[in-house]
Amino acid sequence: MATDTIQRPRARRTTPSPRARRRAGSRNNLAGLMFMTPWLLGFVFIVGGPVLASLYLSFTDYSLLGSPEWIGWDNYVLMFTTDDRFFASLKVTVTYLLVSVPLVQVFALALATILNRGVRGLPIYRTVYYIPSLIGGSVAIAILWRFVFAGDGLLNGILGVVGVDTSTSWIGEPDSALYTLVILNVWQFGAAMIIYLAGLRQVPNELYEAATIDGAGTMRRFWSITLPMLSPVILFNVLMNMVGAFQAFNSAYIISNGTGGPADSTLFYTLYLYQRGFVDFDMGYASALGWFLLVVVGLAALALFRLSRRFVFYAEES
Amino acid sequence: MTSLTTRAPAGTRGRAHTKPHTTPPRLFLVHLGLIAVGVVMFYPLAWMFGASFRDDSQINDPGLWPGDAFTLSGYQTGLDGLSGVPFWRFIANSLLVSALCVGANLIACTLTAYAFARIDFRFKKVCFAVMLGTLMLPHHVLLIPQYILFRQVGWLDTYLPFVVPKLLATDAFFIFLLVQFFRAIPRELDEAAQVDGCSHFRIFTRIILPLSKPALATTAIFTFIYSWNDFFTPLLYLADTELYTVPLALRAFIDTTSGSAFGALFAMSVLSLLPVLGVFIAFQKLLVEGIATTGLKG
Amino acid sequence: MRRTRFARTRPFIALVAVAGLAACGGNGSDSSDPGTVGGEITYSYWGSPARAEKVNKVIAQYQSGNQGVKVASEVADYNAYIERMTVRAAGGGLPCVIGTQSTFMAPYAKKNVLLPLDDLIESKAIDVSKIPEEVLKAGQIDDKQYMIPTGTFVRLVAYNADLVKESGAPAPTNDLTWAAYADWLKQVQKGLPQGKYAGEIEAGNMFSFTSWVIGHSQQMFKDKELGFDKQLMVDWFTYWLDLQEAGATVPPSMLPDQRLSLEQTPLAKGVAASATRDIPHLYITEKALAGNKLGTSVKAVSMPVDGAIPSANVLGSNGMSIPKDCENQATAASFINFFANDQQAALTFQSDNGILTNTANQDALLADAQTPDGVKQNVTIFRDLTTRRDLATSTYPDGLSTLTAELTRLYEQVAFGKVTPQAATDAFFNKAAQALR
Repeated sequence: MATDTIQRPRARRTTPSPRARRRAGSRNNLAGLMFMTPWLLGFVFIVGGPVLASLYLSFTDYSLLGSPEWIGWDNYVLMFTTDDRFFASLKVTVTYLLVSVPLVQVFALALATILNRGVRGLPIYRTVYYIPSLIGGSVAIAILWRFVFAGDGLLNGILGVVGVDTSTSWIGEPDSALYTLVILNVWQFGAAMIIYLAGLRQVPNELYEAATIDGAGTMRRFWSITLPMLSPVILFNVLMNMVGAFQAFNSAYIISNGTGGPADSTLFYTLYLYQRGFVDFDMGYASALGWFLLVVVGLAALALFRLSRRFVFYAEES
Repeated sequence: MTSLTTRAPAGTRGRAHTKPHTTPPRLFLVHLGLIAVGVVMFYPLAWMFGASFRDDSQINDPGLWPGDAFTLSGYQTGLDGLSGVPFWRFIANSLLVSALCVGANLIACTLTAYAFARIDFRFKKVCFAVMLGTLMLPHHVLLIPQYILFRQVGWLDTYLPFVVPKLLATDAFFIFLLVQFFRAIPRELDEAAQVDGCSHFRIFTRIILPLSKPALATTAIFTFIYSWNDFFTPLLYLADTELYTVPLALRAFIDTTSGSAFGALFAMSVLSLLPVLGVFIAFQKLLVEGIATTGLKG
Repeated sequence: MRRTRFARTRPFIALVAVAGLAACGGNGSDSSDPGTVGGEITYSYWGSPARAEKVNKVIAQYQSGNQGVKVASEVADYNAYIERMTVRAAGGGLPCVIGTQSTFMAPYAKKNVLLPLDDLIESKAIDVSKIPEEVLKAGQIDDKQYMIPTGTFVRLVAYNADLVKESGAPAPTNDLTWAAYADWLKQVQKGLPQGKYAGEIEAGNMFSFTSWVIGHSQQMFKDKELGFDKQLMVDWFTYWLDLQEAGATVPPSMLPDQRLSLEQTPLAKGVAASATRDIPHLYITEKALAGNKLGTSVKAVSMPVDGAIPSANVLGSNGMSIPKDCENQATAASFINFFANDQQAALTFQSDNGILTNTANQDALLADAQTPDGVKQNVTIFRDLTTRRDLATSTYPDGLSTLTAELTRLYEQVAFGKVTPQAATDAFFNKAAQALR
């Protein structure tokens, strides 16, 4: 329409006629629909639908050979009353989380802080620390880890060289097996470190300068300036790390050979879910486990956000 | 205390925050510490590389150099692969799947991100919230129905369960990344194009995409790496050895390893890591920037 | 839009709900006129690359003798094979000839996945005349033949002859009692150097446990329940716990090693002096020891027995079955018949998956110069057992695989002191109540 010719971009901001607005609105809806088609299909069939189907299945007994049989709350009752492995897997997963997430953040933040002082060769250090994050979730590394911590493995070999003679199988003893997985997770602190590095760069220098003038020492500056300014980044990292820890699978599977052993000490929740669903083919029960995981992760995330309101400081607020 | 402002004077932002001059001994200690950490972290990797060239009888040697026990037999045996399927086949399979996933993600995530960033449509806010929600959704709750669905449509033992979900924009992480990036592109460009009568699609292809190369590259690289390392999806959906991807082949190899053929195991592990490392080295800068931006905008 | 989304999910849930029903109506992947031999079939089995080579040769022989028939083959390692089989059974994609085993056959037979082969046997499409009755029994459920046994295995007490000699203890005999066995283990341990052990931990092994139950005059299963006393199981766990504490068995941290491939077990690495093994594993273990520069012979004696039971050597068998929805049953039957009975095939396959069942072929194998000594040894041992009537049978009901895994897992907990034998037994019985339904 000739009258709609726009002279300056800003001119558009005057209220368009209702008819034009409706037409623009409906045109946008159509365009929106078309662009969103993949996502919508994906959501229905690959995400949303399955979430609901999973809920339905959790109330059934289904083993692939046959059809789902409605059994009401039985699966959940079983889960919470007689299933020892369920509680064992929760314990293992939560322990893993509570130990490795803070460790990862501490390492990442510590090293980011040190590197941020303008250390020479920063790119090299950054690369070296980051590469483990890239490959840490792979089967190859899990295999390597199995070998490093075996009774006749690399760690014991190195200890032997420095005079400590031991043939403890770190992955074979229930008391230590989980911690080899924790170490594997901490080994991958590089990604978090890079995020912290970027975050540190965003902290305005003048804050530090002002604080130094006021007489604040290094630690004081760290606690009162760096941490608060970094808190959104910390929140993000902790959240992502936590969600990742709940879903960890590869390392436990490879190192324990799919068993979650020894004595269920590496039975991550996801590994237990996999066993029930794809080894025992108890798909109703596995769906119940999946839904419970959903609830737990949701609650954990919620708790994290609640906590964040107290501790996270966004620079936009004064 | 001075008031906390959000914008620092131009000169002090961007560069690493420099402390007042550190004394040389201190600096030396810092470097020593950093190097020590690096060495400890890297040693297992370097060791595995050396071990892949080492004769099986000496495989327990904690040193780095194969020395006298140097042999290529690990690689020779490893490349023979599994049940008559050579290892190169597995690498090719992984490459195929990863490439398809990259393509699928690039198409689907950019389309969706454009809609979120540039189009105003009904229920946009709801969809966006839902999309963010799926970021934290543990995928294990979807596992079984997805498996049943794919089985029902006969997609077991194919690569379709890998690619189709990506094609249907279920990788919320990249959608989010791209939305943030698109939002940063000035709207004036869009509006100028609209004046010229461009449809959304043309704006998308002619303006937004070309300007998004860094984000697209980040998406492509991360999708590639994730897809290459993915063990769980093949575990569930692939039964035919000829279709195995590298992670699954490695795991099958541990299962069937006779004697202590660790040399071959390590050789194949090393080979499986090379593409990821290669991609990293080639696109280092992009990768690092990419990670940094996800953390900050989040 | 929200409404459309809901509307879209409801049919999907219905789809899922109906999935199971629709699942059984799949097509077999093979096709031909059902009455005649021809067309293409696929044989799916488990094994190592070495076995795959032999099978391929047998297939080639079959194809040359049956022009116009093509047999494709698929192989996977045992665990992957089982997983795949269950999935395919549900989806209707099972190939026409599948490898089965007496231990896991029951659920498939019970759920109508497998074809009863009695008609094909009647019509002589599959000839079982040279397979002994007790062996055939292993492939039957409810008196119907669901599997043609092609290889039997019997679990025995295997020992490393040199290591035992080194320890100064005498070689074990065929008439051990469990108490004598424990004493023998302790005696061997006394004479062994640091880092070597008299025995592997057998407590988590379902076969060994079966021998224990039978050897104490009880049975494993009765109807849909466990057929033995709880105390018997508690005693079993305690028996091995005592040996473990006396240092006569490998430490619990080696339990995962026992489940690795044969060549990586403590026995094969010369770390343990004895362990229970199936007959065919004996010479494989010998080869592994030789490969590790620990040349020795691996011999076997019967499983210990307490009481008046003649034998606790439990017989199991591997074989081939035809899924119900195979569309080329004639060819499948013809291939199975060939595999089980053809002499050339037997000489080529060399009894790779258990002692071959056709007695005439056993003779041929023994007479053939090409047969490795180890294989001859296997056949001889088995024949010896049959002549001495030193064999026992057990039933393998639906749910056995679950219980087998559960036993291993439970004992691991006991071995590490996380759970008492009593508590572990209770847990096992609970699981059995569910699994054997």
